[in-house]
Amino acid sequence: MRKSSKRFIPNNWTEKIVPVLLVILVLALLAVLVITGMAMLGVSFGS
Amino acid sequence: MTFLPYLSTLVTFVFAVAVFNRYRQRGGPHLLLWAIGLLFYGLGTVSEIILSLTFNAFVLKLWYLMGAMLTAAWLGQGTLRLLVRKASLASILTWVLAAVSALALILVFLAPVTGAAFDVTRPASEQYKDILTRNGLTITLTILLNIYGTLMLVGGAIYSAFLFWRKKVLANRMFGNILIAAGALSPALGGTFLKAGIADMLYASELVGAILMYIGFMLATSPSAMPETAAA
Repeated sequence: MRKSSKRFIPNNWTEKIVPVLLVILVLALLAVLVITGMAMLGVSFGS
Repeated sequence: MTFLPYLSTLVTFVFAVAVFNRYRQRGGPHLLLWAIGLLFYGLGTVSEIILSLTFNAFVLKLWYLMGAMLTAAWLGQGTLRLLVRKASLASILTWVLAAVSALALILVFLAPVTGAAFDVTRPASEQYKDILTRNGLTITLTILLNIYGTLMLVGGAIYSAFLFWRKKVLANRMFGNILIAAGALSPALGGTFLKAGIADMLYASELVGAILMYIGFMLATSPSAMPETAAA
């Protein structure tokens, strides 16, 4: 019996959306780290 | 908005039980660390429920310790344990985190509280700074634990998703990790906005985070939820 493969071929939609999602997640992570670091230094953005 | 912690608690404890059951079936210290992190997450949201009904200094401290200090770090430690191949290094880092967590527990439970000012009709996240007196070390530790946990948990999930994408394997794990990263970022953003004084969306961000991470975990651990093709 042939073992099923775990590989996949992305469709047009997946081909575009996954890299965009990964970039957005990286940017959001950087934003969290920067804002948290600035809060540590005493910088407040609120009123 | 007071119903949000009830939903968050339900989702988080169901999620924690699912992760712990998987640990019992398959082993893997990363699953145990995630289950501990989710238990802390749930204890944080349970504290929010209690604080919406009545004030209790112990519960406020539990809320701060679990929600603000330990949850992200222990969830992130699970991801680190999964990704770092050197088990001895990961074990040392886990013991360091345990020691830092014990220090955090001592600092928070020794911190003075002025309960007279607490208003149960407002979220604890809006008023804890005026009630729980935190020294510089506690605040610094809170921020460092959050940076560490967020970097490990979100960064690890993004890294895993990227590897699956680059190799074009295990689409369910790729999408699962994307959801886990997005879910972990949700309360991280909520907490970050709160720390920076931008907006208080903590309760909503906790619920969204728990739901996204749970769906991501189920997807990543399912046998195969996406259509697959034969290997080239």
